[in-house]
Amino acid sequence: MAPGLMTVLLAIAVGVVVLLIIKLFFMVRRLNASFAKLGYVIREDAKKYFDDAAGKIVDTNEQFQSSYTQIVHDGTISALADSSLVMEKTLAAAHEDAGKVIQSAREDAQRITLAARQNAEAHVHQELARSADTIEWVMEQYVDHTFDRTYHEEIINKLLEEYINEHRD
Amino acid sequence: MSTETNQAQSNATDYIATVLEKLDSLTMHLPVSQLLAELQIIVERLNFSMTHNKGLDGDDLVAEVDLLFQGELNEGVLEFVRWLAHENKLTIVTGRPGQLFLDHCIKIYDRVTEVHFITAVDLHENTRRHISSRLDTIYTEPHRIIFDVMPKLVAGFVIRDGSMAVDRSLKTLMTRKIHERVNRPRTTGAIHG
Repeated sequence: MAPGLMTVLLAIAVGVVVLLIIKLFFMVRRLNASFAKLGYVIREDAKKYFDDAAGKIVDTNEQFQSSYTQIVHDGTISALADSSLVMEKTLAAAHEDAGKVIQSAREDAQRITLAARQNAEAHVHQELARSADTIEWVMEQYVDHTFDRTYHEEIINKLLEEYINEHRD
Repeated sequence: MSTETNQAQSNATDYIATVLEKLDSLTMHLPVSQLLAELQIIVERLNFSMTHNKGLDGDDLVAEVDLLFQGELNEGVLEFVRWLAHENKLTIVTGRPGQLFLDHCIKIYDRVTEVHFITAVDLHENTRRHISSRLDTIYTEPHRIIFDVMPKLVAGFVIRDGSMAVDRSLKTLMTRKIHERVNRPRTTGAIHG
């Protein structure tokens, strides 16, 4: 075989290879672009799907939250209504009991105060009477020992004159 | 006849008045209840006794009266009966006249106010008379002053006439003064000495 031919053949072969390489290059690029496109679509779809799912979850959650709040609200009102009724009765009973206790305590205090006052007054009167008795006894002894009948009569006459003058006025 | 009756009535009135005056003068300080009780004793006993001693008079009758009543009657009342016996007037307190005299006395003394003059010591007769005369200026209605002794008064006097009491005794004065002294408000911050 001629060298020229060989060269031409080789060049053709090289050219074919280069063409194939270039074609492969473009095919790879095209494939790459297709994959990129496909990835975008898939991502968008996924995004949309997840967005929808998230929206549903939020709605469900909101509905649940709303109904739960209502349930809690109703339950609270009911519980409070019952509680207030019970509380009202309890408070009334407690108030009544407290009133009785206070009244009883007040009566006890009044009784104790009165008894203490009476006791103190009785004690004072007793002590005064005892003092008066003692002084009276001393005076009796003194007068009996010191005053004679004339002196007594002088005092009586003087006091009588005073009384008559007062009576006249 | 009428003149004689009037004269007799006048004499009887004078007679009763004389007897009552004597009774009053001798028993002026005796309580009315005691006086009437003793007059009743006199009437009852003389009614019984005089039926057995009709012939007695003068000193014998006085001695009989002493025997009957001594120690049982107040000295003033006994003196009154002695006077009646001595004056031969015992018939007024004997029998039916005695009952009438007692009724008359009850009516008279019912209107008399008893004024008790109470003192710590027994008073001399002159002082009693003086006190009676002074009290006459206050008590203008018929009354008799009865002198009682209550040593507890210590000194002074108390007058009780049934409707009111006047207390001028040292005992009451002392008690009042003690209470005044004890109940007097205390002055704070006083400097003693």
